[in-house]
Amino acid sequence: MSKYTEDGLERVIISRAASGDTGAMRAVYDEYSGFVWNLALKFTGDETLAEDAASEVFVRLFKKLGKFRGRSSFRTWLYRFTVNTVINFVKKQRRRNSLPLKESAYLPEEDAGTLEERDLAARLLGELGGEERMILILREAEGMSYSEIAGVLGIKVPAVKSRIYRARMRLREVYETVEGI
Amino acid sequence: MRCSDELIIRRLDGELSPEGEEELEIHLKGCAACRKKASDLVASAGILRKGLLKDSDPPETIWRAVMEKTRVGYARLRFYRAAAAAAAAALIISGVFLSRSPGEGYLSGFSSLVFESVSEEEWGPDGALEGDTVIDMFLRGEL
Ligand SMILES: [Zn+2]
Repeated sequence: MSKYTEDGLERVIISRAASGDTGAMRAVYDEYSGFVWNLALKFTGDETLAEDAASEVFVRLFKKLGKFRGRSSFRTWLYRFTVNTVINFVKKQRRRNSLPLKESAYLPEEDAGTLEERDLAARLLGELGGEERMILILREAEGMSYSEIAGVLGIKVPAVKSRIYRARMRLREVYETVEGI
Repeated sequence: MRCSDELIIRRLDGELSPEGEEELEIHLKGCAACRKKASDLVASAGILRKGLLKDSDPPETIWRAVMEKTRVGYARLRFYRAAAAAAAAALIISGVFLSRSPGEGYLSGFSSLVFESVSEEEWGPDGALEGDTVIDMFLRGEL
């Protein structure tokens, strides 16, 4: 077995982080917090909620890190862990606070398209269910291929295709209603 | 060829063969409904692409929150383990002194309470990491 995981993070770092070594935990955090944060932000469209979701991901991650067996790449394992944690976190929050996700802010970056484009993206995403929203974010924002998405979601490529198909059709429906106003 | 949403979407994802592409193109020329569908699919996907383009740096508050919760978690785990060990010892003692009335003494009630907490996955249920308990406050030295 290689000293490094496929994505270059040392295995010894991962096992140290699993046993609570703060320096090693920080190394894992530095490597992946960008992905976790941006995914959470795009999924929730709300900075405060995204911060809470991202910290939930890392708290749970450090708790479960010892369960990583090195069968898949660490990156794929962590991406899947992140996707599931973020979706579940938002579901839990919505149950607790009946969060109006449809009207959420979605105001990330100054130069991410024009204000109208960002606004429209927010409105469209807000109308989708969590799984549909996530798969389109992985495809359109993260630029993942079908097989990468299959790895992250732990499903087969044909299932990815049919989910993306449904999500795209749903997005189009929403687009046509919004456009029609 | 007949109307096909699937071909339209495969083209959008760049998954269509040149022949398929040509076939679809011919169909689109003669079918206004599919043309509209195709252009709406492209437009809605384009909106996501543009609207979600830019990534930003994670705020440092995330790391602080993680450290806060993780420290409390480890400390609580140590506390439970120590409590469980003490309860186990107490159980042995109570077994010696209270052997004539098993299950009646308050110690057996206490020990089952503690063991219940420990038997949750590592640190107790996820919910237990949120919110403050008296134990959390004690561990942070606030009591
Ligand atoms: Zn047609």
